[in-house]
Amino acid sequence: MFNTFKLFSIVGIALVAWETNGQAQNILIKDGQKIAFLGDSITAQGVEHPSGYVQLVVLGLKVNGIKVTIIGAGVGGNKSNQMLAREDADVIDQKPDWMTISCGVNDIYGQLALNLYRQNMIHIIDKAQAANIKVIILTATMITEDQSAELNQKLIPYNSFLRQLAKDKKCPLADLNADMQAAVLASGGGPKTRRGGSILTNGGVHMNALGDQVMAIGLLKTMGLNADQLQKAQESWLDLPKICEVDLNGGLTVRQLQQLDALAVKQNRPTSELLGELVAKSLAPALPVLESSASGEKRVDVH
Amino acid sequence: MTNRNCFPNQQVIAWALLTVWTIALCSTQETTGNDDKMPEVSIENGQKIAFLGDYATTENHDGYPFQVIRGLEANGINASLLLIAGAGSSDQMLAKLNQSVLVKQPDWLIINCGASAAWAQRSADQYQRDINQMVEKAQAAGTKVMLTTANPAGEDPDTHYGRAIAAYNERLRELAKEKKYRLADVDMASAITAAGGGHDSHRGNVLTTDGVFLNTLGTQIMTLDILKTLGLNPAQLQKAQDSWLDLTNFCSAKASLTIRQYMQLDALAAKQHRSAQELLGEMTAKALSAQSKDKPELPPNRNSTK
Repeated sequence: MFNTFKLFSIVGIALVAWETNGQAQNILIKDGQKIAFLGDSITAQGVEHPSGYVQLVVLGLKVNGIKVTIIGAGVGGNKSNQMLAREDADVIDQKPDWMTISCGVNDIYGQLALNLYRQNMIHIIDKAQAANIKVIILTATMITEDQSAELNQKLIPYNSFLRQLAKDKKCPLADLNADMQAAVLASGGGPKTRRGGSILTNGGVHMNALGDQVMAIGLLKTMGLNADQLQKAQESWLDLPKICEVDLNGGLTVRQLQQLDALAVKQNRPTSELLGELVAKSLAPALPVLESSASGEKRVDVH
Repeated sequence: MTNRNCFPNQQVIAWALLTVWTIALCSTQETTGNDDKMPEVSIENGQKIAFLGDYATTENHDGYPFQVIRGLEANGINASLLLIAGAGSSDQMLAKLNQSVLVKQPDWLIINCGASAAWAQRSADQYQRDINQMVEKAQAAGTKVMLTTANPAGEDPDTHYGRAIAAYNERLRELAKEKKYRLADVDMASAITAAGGGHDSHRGNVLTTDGVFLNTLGTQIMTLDILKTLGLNPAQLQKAQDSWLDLTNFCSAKASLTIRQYMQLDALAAKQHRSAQELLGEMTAKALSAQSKDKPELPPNRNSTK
């Protein structure tokens, strides 16, 4: 059923997990509704980047017949107290039907105590619900792709609290932290491997094209899309041109970059576009090998 | 102390720009006198340079602070680096100057401030006052100071932030003139135009990765200006430039891909047990090598700067 995605086991995880556990259910989000995405820089980038998770969610809903408008309410560096302080202006006054909240990474960085985080999060959810805004809670995403790292260990009770909060407040929960952990594991990544610690992220925290997809699929699944709808969503964003800006992270010498830029200048186009074309050409010979090895790939069940 | 540069030919673009830039730097020096009268290098072996900057000053090893240190090293001057990046707007920098910089007693302080101040909506008057106080405090503490003009806050100068940066830079030039402050006047606005960027450009960002963070070209332009303002002569600038040309695993570039292409890239990298970025770098190098064989004239002729 998921031939296209067998090749890409990381993102396929969410689909497989749904297939093993879920039955078709009603999509919670209705056509014409407005969704506010409250969060920190991960959410800000999710809105700003064409391949950001918020944009992918919007596209994923659209191809399934649900057009939504969004309110980008992500601010870099924000902790729960700061989100609470601007919730009225950035979310409630905008009168959305839904609010998603992704919060916790900066609370850990900023050493905001768990009891304060609890109070803030409860207050944020209560205020939204009092304003008749339905809330989807996202668990805080990983802080580096090494689950054994100190900050990820510190994050565990914060996310445990969020899971309980979702039950208590009857909010749908997108457990994106669990999805990320599973995806890193399935990808053979992690800082101690040759694959490195940036499989889903750029440098450990902010999402790359794969991380954004893990987040988007996790969120769409929570919104009630079934396996076919998720597949349709994923297909819709796979071939959008120039959607990902992939960073070489220091992979070139200055001389090589000069060559690359000189070529781009000759062609009067952005260097990133030319580089994308070179990569696509370089990938072409490898595709048959990838397809054949993917057909024998073992799926990973997560939840 | 200013060394504002003019481009003889605005059609010169991208990496050829760097050659032109180097020529401009060199000719500015040459017009000030013959070799005997060239300024001494102001920095001495073993000295400590503090770089105080905002969001545009990166801690990455390919950022301009490390490049300045490398450029000096290539000329036999070993300086140590004290880097205070992400220090915020001008008032925030001023507030943390003592604790973050002066208590560590650097010999030199190089200040780059602008984008964060523009975002924080510091007026040109406030900005000038903050900068002036920083210089006075540092000088009172026995630290020599170099100001650098503010980097872009978006490469289109015809925006609110672009105009704010231009206003800050005019104030820096006034300060430099009136108070004889040392200023590396990196004329990024002209460089952007010369590189084919700016308003309505098809080239996108040309000196930055995102409008603010300098890319490799922007970093080199800024580094050369700082080194020149520190007193390096044309031969020394060339030596500095040569020193970083072939550093491996050094430069970043962005590739525009579809998600499918990125996933294919990552799947291939996974098969080879390495990162997508590493594979991307290798692919690019191979593709460029093939291109160079077809078109050997592509690498810029560095010797033309002589």
